[in-house]
Amino acid sequence: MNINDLRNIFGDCELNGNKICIKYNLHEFLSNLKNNYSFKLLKSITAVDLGNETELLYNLLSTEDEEDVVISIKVQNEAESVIDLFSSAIADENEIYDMFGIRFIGHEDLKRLYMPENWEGFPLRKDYVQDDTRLVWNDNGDNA
Amino acid sequence: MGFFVTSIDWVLNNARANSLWPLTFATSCCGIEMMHTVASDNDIARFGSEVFRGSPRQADLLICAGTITHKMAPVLLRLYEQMAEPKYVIAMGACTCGGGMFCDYSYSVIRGIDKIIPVDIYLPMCPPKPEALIDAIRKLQQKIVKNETIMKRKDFVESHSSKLVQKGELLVEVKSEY
Repeated sequence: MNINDLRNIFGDCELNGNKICIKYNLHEFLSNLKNNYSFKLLKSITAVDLGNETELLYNLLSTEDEEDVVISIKVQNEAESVIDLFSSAIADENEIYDMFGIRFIGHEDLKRLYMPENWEGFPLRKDYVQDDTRLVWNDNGDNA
Repeated sequence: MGFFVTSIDWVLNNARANSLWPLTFATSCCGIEMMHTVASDNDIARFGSEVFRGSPRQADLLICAGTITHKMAPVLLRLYEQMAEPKYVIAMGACTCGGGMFCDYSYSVIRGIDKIIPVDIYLPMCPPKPEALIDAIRKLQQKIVKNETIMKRKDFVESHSSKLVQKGELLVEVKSEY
């Protein structure tokens, strides 16, 4: 299929190369892509901290013509979970919660994946400052 | 009396220096160089250190080969405390000496393992060549033969054990979940 046809699926979206920027209804959009347009493989989910909001990027692959598409949505602190569509999203959403603090609504077992369970803050955010006094290992008080 | 004590020291030091059994502790890329050092090209067995042990109870030497993160620090301290005296530590690689390339902006890396455990030999490079690791082991052997005595070792253990307990309490507070 032509990537320009995707514009017809969802009216209010912006096309930039193979990147589609949408504003809301992420779950419905991905469900449509998966069920009607053979984008059955979710390769990855990544996130970019833009300061006042976070951009989520969903990288999908079509199983019919091997075409890549990137879905972009800007969120504040909460996003819709897509684990009922793609089970591979479980680990990705856990990682994004771990690093950026985005809560995925519908993801039951959201937890720290890489960082220790009681770690304070989300380290890949731009406003993250490491001032946890529990992590001082030496007598001088250096936080390192 | 002094003659016998120093003679015992001389015998023990030579025995220890020429059979340093390292612990297999490779946390990142320096581990590859450590494997290369063990392999036949560079053959660490010439210096009596070829027997890499999987258990800290049987090891004398902790070659810390790789970056230590906050999450790995409790494991490092536990392994060090499980080793039997006398035990020696080589901090292999720039990361373990002072943070290396993670020194400025990393949130997860400890800037030098000497904040956790006492270090005998620092070996900074990124990563060190096998020849450099052999050199570090030779330096450690010289240090053991020339400087080590039973009484010095006793003082060293006593002076460090209380600090290790304090750090252990800190670590337990951080790692309580896992």
